[in-house]
Amino acid sequence: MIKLIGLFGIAAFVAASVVVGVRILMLAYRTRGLPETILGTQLVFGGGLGAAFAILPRLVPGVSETATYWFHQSSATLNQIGFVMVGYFVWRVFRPNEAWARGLVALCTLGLTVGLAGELASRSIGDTVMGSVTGGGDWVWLSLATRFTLYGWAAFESFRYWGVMRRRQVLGLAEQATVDRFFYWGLSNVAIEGIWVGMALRRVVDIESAAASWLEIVTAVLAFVVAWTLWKAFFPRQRSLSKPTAAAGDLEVVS
Amino acid sequence: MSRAEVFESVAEALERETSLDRLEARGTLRITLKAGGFDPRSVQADQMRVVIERLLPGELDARGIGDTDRVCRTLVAALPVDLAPAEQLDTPEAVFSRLGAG
Repeated sequence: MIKLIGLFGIAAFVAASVVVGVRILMLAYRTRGLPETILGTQLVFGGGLGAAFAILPRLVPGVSETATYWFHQSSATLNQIGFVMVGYFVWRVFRPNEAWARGLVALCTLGLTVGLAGELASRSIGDTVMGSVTGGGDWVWLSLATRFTLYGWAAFESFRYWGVMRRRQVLGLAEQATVDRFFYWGLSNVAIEGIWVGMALRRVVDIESAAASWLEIVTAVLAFVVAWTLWKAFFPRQRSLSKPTAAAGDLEVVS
Repeated sequence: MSRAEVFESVAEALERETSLDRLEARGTLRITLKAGGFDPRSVQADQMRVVIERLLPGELDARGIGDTDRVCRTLVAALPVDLAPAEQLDTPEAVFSRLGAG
């Protein structure tokens, strides 16, 4: 039952990531915007395909160990690409002129690349990513630490700008939907951080223990939270929630 | 004109129109912009206008500056014409606004 809840959670996570990611990529095709391209790629690769490849061996009956191995290697690769995209998006949008941000992204990209190379090299046919989580060796810790840094940074910048936007909203210079988008994307990243913590803990607790079961439940709940917050953040509202702007001469946000 | 110059031109006008010295004028304007969620280095002219009209009178009152209506009207009149839209495309606000477009 717990495994089923876990799978449903991941399925919701994958579905939301793919649907939202594809929608944003279609938007990027129209706007030619680099941030949209980065974020859409991140969602499709990392949240969508990366997670999907990790759970597919559990869903498809009779999958060979060799096929499982290649699914997990592909999953790890797609995930790392997604994680790099998160860092690039946060730098590009929130801190484009900051040298420290550029350096952080470069360092994390290096960490993720080294971690991925080590993980791919140390995983053998017969290891699994979900469940016993013995594959990938200690290299997974490097990847976990790096992605925890990037998603934590994303959450920080999103919530910080949410505060900025709320002050502008009081002046009538920000639309409710845009203000909310910062909040929900920040919350999405916090939930993902929780999933990383769960993944780290599952690598050290006894897989048959009650703690492991609770971790799986919490991870499933967090996966549903990510799916919900992505939907809330990035699907266009059917009704206008914006407050009137201050005066006719005000610049409207780019839409 | 760069957006930092929007701040500079208003700060200079505030110093001219009031008894505030250079540091006080710039500090008052920075505090007011921060209260409105704006960065002095990137605030646009039309955003500055709203800040001047809505928030600055209170800050000037708190500093004992009289005739705040006249001062604010003068500051608004001194604002430059806003920059070309292309420079505003990839601010966090602009990007997150686009991301919700249908």
